Amino acid sequence: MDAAIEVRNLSKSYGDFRLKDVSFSVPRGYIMGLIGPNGAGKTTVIKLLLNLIRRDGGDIRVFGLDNLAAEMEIKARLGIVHDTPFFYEHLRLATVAKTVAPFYRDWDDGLFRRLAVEFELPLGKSFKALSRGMKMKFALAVALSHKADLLILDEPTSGLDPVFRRELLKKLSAFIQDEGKSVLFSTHITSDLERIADFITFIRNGEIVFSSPRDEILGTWAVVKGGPELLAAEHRALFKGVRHGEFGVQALTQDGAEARRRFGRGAVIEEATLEDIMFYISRENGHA
Amino acid sequence: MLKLWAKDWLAARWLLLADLAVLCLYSLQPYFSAGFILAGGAAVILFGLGIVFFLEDRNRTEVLFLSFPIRRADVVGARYLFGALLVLLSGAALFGIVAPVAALVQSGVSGDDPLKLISIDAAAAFLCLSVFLVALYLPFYHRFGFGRGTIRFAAAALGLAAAALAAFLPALSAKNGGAEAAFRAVRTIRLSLGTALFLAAVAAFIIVTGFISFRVSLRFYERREF
Repeated sequence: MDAAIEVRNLSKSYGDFRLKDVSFSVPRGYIMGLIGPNGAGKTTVIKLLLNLIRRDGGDIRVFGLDNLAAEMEIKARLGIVHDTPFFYEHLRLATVAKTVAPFYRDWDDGLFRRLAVEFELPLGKSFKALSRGMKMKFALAVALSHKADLLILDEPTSGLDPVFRRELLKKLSAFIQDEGKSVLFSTHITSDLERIADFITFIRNGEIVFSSPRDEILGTWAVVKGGPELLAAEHRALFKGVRHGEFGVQALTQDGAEARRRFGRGAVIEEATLEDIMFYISRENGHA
Repeated sequence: MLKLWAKDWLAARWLLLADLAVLCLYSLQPYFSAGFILAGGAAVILFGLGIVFFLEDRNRTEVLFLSFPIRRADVVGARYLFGALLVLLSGAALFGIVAPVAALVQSGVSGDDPLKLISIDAAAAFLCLSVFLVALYLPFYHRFGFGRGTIRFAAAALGLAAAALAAFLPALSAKNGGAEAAFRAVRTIRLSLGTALFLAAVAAFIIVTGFISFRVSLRFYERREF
């Protein structure tokens, strides 16, 4: 499959934190969700993609091009929404857009104004007067106004209300309808990704736990609920994370079918959500 | 390059204009000496750079703009050219407005005649001082960012000023303070070299200082992480 982003054995150390041999790829025309707890390394991966920090090792190819050698060409085709929108707070939105437009050959002012109307952005107001949701909408309008082929969104929905989150997800789904457009969407709000992501990459403590199609993940991972017999020695290898509750034991397994075969009616087996997976795996090895 | 200037101009235009206006108002203050006015011209340049960098730092726009299709070398180059533009604008205001008006306003009031600002010596001193300060500031800024960079630059500039003061102490005791001694030193150099060679030396100083500073800044900035 043709890849919009291809990351191979990426590594980076900063103080105590290490990104270790991270590899994943975002197929062209799809949405990839990058999930993981706070501090897992999601923003570090995005900063490495954008050359905001220097990698210690590994390769990054975007649109098939090396991200260092072809930085300008790649960035001209990227739309970026950072976790905090970094624009001049004291300027009016129309003026902020004027500071951005000259950087993009394909900037379409008509498209920007249409998106401003669609997102109900008050172009005459200063950026600092906007709510967080409106600031994110503005950042998204800017990212979409130069006809980017790849959108990179770093935690765009954190702290936003469900109405705006749904609007954003709808917009992203519409964005990839245009053939060849792709999205890398980093978040710890996993329910957003269950709605729209085609692929999920889970990163924890700087390492990739998995990077697979969403349907495959949701179809295979399961939460098993039952009594203490679940923790018998012969079953321990089946589980990735265990939680002892008031009413018994709950555990995550990567092989729901095998759990069904082993426990049958002796346990309740439910499809795991991405949040379940993130929760249990984060608890594994003492990580909460 | 122009697009980087355009964003800085859109972000800081009113503060930059106010900065230059303050310099022009110097001319109406009858007790400001020629040396003070000259130093004020250099301070306005640093303040102008500081305004742009402060706004960039406060809004963290550097991270945003470095995500755009722009090379770090272009960012550094644009900042040096912006510094050069401020030197030219400040120089034009200083020698075209401030010095003549100050000479009129201060006629007979100040013992330190601002008319002496309208000379090759004063222009050369202003250019060398301002280029040196900008060339000293920008590597600190590119290495450490606005806050820490500005503090380190201020410490370095004060250290150098103290060293210069100690070196020129015998000349200072002669008469009229530091500015007079500096003007006399510049005049002595010009007379000993001849005006043509003196101007060539000033140009060489500006080019070499600017170039070395640019290379150092570029090296720092290309390694900087955001």
